[in-house]
Amino acid sequence: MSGLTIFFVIYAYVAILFFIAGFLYRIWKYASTPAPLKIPQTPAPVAAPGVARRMVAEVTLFKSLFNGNKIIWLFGYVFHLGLLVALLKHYRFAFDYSPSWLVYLTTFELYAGLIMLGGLMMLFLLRLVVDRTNFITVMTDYILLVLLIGIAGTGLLLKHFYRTDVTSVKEFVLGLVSFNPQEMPADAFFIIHITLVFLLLIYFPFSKLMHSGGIFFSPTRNQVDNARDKRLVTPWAAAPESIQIASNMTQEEG
Amino acid sequence: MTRAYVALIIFALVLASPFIVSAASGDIGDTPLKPDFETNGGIDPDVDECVRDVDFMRSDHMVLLKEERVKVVRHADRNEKYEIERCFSCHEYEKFCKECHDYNGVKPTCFNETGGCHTNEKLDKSERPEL
Repeated sequence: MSGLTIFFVIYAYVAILFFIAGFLYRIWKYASTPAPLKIPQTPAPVAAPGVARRMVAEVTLFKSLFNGNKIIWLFGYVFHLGLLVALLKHYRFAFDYSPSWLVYLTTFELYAGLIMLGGLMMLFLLRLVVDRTNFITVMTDYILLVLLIGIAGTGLLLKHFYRTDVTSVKEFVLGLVSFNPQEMPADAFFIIHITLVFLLLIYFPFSKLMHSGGIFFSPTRNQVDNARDKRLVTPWAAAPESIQIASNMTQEEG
Repeated sequence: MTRAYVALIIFALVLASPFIVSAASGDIGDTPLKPDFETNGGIDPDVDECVRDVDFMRSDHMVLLKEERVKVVRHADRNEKYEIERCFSCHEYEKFCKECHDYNGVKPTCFNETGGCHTNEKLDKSERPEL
């Protein structure tokens, strides 16, 4: 096995470990952060199924973003759609057998790649030219966009201009998945592509990309509007009823 | 909150599915399956030559076929070297094209079976339309 392969096999496993452990840690942090106040943003659902519907609309349609800013929504949504197709189609490399719906999905892969790249570039441009967006932009926003543009760009080049032998790519990925590393194809664009992808995986848990898991923990979106029916007592704040009543009374007097 | 955990568990399972499937089918530590097209097709890439070198053909054969298609169909300009009939003088569809395309989950768009124009059998040049 070549030095290049050994390096990338270790790099791959480190990146995947970082991603999984980091992601779980961040989720644990979100879950254990107290949400002491009942603050669903109204109009809010008054029962659990409504919250589920609201969450689904949030995750699949980015409803709040749509209400807030149509331009950012358009480019962000288009980018995420492209990313979804791109992610799914890469699963062909990791399974012995490709289901027919996955093969069918490859019909749109060029369009998916282009809207992904286009959306990212427009989001980058918005950060530069819109004053209010530019004011709140920090360095990591640019770094993430550049990283994603690099991944989408090299992916498209790899597919349409500087092709690599996909059979040996698949052997390499299957080797990683079955913990029996295989030789990797030494094509420049493939190396750049996976270098950036693994870099993204390592950076993911530390970055704003955690909005993917964090959205489920948004108190204004995941709470039921039943403050008048049911008293909210967070577990860590639970105290004997008498003390609570007493403290309520002092608050009212003050 | 419980729903958030369920969603996250599903997300984690989808992400880890290649590893899970690999473990469940007992592939851990095995050499991954490879398409057997070289031995099946009776082609030895070290000895037999294709129209271009092996590395180029593996990654870029579709470009040659597509460019040739455009030349023939749109400009009535046939190049004997790159015509698809010539592929079948060495390679068989079932054992060569299909084997590898199935493995990679890619549709060979040349053929009837996957929405193209050509049949999978060896083609008789005399039956093709005049340009």
